[in-house]
Amino acid sequence: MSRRTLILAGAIGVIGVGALFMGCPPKEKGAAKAGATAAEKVYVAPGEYDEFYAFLSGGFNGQLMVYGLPSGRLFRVIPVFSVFPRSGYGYTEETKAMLMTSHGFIPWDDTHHPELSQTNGEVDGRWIFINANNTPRVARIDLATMETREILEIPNSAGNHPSTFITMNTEYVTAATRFSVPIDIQKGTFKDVPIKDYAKEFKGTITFIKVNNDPNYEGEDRMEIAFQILVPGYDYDLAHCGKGPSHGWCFFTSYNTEQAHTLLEKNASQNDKDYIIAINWKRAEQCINEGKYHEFPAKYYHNYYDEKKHMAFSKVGDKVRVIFPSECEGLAYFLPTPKSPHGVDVDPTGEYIIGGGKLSADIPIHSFSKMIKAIENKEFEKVVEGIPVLKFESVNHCLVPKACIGPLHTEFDGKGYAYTSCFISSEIIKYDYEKCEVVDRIPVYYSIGHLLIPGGDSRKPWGKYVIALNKITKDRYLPVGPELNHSAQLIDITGEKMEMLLDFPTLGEPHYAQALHADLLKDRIVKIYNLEENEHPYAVKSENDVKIERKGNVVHIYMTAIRSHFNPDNIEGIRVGDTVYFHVTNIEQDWDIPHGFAVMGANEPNALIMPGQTLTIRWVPKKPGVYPFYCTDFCSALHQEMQGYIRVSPRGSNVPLKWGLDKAL
Amino acid sequence: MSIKRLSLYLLPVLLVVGCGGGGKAEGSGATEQKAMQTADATQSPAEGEKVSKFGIGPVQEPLNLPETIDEALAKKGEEIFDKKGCTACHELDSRKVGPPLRDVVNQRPPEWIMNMIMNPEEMILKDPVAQKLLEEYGVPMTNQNVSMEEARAILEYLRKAAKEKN
Repeated sequence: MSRRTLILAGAIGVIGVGALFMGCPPKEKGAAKAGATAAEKVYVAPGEYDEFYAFLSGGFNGQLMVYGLPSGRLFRVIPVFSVFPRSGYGYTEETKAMLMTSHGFIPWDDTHHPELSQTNGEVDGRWIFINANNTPRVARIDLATMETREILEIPNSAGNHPSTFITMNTEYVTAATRFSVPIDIQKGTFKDVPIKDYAKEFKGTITFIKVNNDPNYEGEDRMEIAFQILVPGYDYDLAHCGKGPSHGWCFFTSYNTEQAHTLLEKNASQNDKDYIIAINWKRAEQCINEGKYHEFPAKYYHNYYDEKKHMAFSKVGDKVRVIFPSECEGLAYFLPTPKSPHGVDVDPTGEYIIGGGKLSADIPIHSFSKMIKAIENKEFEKVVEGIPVLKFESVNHCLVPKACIGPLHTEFDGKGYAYTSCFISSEIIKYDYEKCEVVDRIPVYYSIGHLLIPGGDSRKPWGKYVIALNKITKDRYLPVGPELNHSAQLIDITGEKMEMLLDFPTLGEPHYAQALHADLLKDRIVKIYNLEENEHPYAVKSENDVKIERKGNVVHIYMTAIRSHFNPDNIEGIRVGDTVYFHVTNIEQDWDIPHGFAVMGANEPNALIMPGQTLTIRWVPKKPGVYPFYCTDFCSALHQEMQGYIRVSPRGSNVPLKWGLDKAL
Repeated sequence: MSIKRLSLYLLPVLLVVGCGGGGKAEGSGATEQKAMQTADATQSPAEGEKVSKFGIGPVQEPLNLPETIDEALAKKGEEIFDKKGCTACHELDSRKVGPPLRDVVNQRPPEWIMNMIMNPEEMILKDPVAQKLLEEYGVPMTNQNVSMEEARAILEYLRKAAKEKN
């Protein structure tokens, strides 16, 4: 065999092996064939706008990401429960209070389920809510500024997973325990008990947070805990509230009705059916009015950001109203649902309630009207801790047979079809949920968790795209080491067959996501903060008012920033042992002209100050010397000139406090 | 030339026209609007020069100001001058970051001054006088989102300042 032939044979061998690998179904990698047509559908020309804003939770990054659809471009990262060195969120004196809890300052959490505010069951573009799983909290983000404006801690809770889901007019936001805990309701703390006493001691709570929807209310403290419901010690997983005929009800899935406290993957997967719990919150309101509740102590933080004062404030709650289902008849019912159900989703008409039985191949669909009838006829299997268990046959509309493996979550297109994500079989299925017939399926890459249709959990979805939010990325992008960004996939659902259009990487781990049409929001976006309305106690609105005040060892610098100088930019008379506060007001009034402020040796990151805003950096100089400060955000042709010096003298020095701009001190 | 041949020549032209005409309307409303104002402004240039007398911006009609100063308006203008951050760069009698403004009303038409206050980015890019000032001072004037009413008040303050010197 000549050398050439040998090489050729080798090449054929390689091709042969390659072809074998290529033959494996997952390696086809989806939309490669779609090509040019798919590209046209997602192409947004330079300077053009996307059709939708999409808000993807960031999971363990504690943030909320804003993307454009159909392009999949990332526009904004909104810090919510995590500190954000990029802007100083959680570090500046003004924003630290946002992350205060009854456990002290917490710099991180795990965000899962964003939910856009709705009016009459339709997305209204005012706010978006999102939960913190780890140290239970609920946040409200104002969509006009895309800034976190309010965070409410949830007492008597742990693992706040079935949150944040809202009622049809944003009357309430939900929260509940994924992890049941030994709540000492009388004290508002957790009991110190043996873990093996789980079944006896551990309880869950379902919390309803009342939202102040008054458009004329000027405060940002819009949320308050209306009441909590004490429920059996299961794991409560996800939720959605009713709409139309089912307005007044919210539905929460539960698993671990076995009440296991160890090796849950085995011990909590024993029962054929767990429950969806249906809560009649209008009945809860009646029970509250009738005094059928217990008021218990509870310590929880309520933090909110005053947009005029440019500062966050905290209130501390000291009690909460708790309803026991046994004392409020008609409040709660269990709907048996196979098998360790995960998602629970209500269709746009409000009649059908779809559970995602994650260990099941059949998708259970319950009927709201059947449920009401079953309640009227008392078709109960048994009663658990004061909560009647309805008979499965009495509430079930159908089981979509052999739908897929590992169904998790469902969204709706508003045209009579449901789309369910299937984790184990890595696909999205489309089905007629009234007839219980699967009509289409599409593979996704890989292991999909949540999925998103713009407005897909409202009464009026924009049924144009579904986004697969996948848990496993593997070979979708150029490899970048052991850690990979999770992949999202955009799928066209306007035709009979779903069509894969685009992959795009995400940040952190997107769990649930929401989207709305850009027309609802883009013209209402705030571009600057009005300097005249700035009520920050250390704001300076005119360079004529800049000053420095010494109060013992504390020095307050009232500083301005405008293209391209700080005023003052020369400061002397600071001493080792001083705590210096730079209160910097950006006196620009033009869109997209933030200034960043950083001073050498600061133990905290820069503050990115928006036009008209005041932010404060704390600085404790440790050694004598002269230290520079500068603007960190390229602001103008003379950005490199936007700098200053601050002189630090030894402890007890007599160097007088002086400051200035454009002059020698 | 055959019709077929002609269409080959015409096609690119039509395409270009098509693209231009259908160009960005939504999403950059402000730019679009300003671009139209530019077109208007260039139709009434000062004689013999490319300079538009009034500059580029929302003020395109002569103000026809009276000789007398509206004292209340001037006082309001002084407050706005401070409140809007103008003092960060301008003083009346000495050069700070930008030019001293005591005599500005004698140097430029009042309409030009108001346009420079309200539309500085475009003035710097397109107006020869504004460009010359940028060359001299090196720092572009910032847009402080001053309304027509506020710009008029600032103008009155500057008119008063000029009179006070005299």
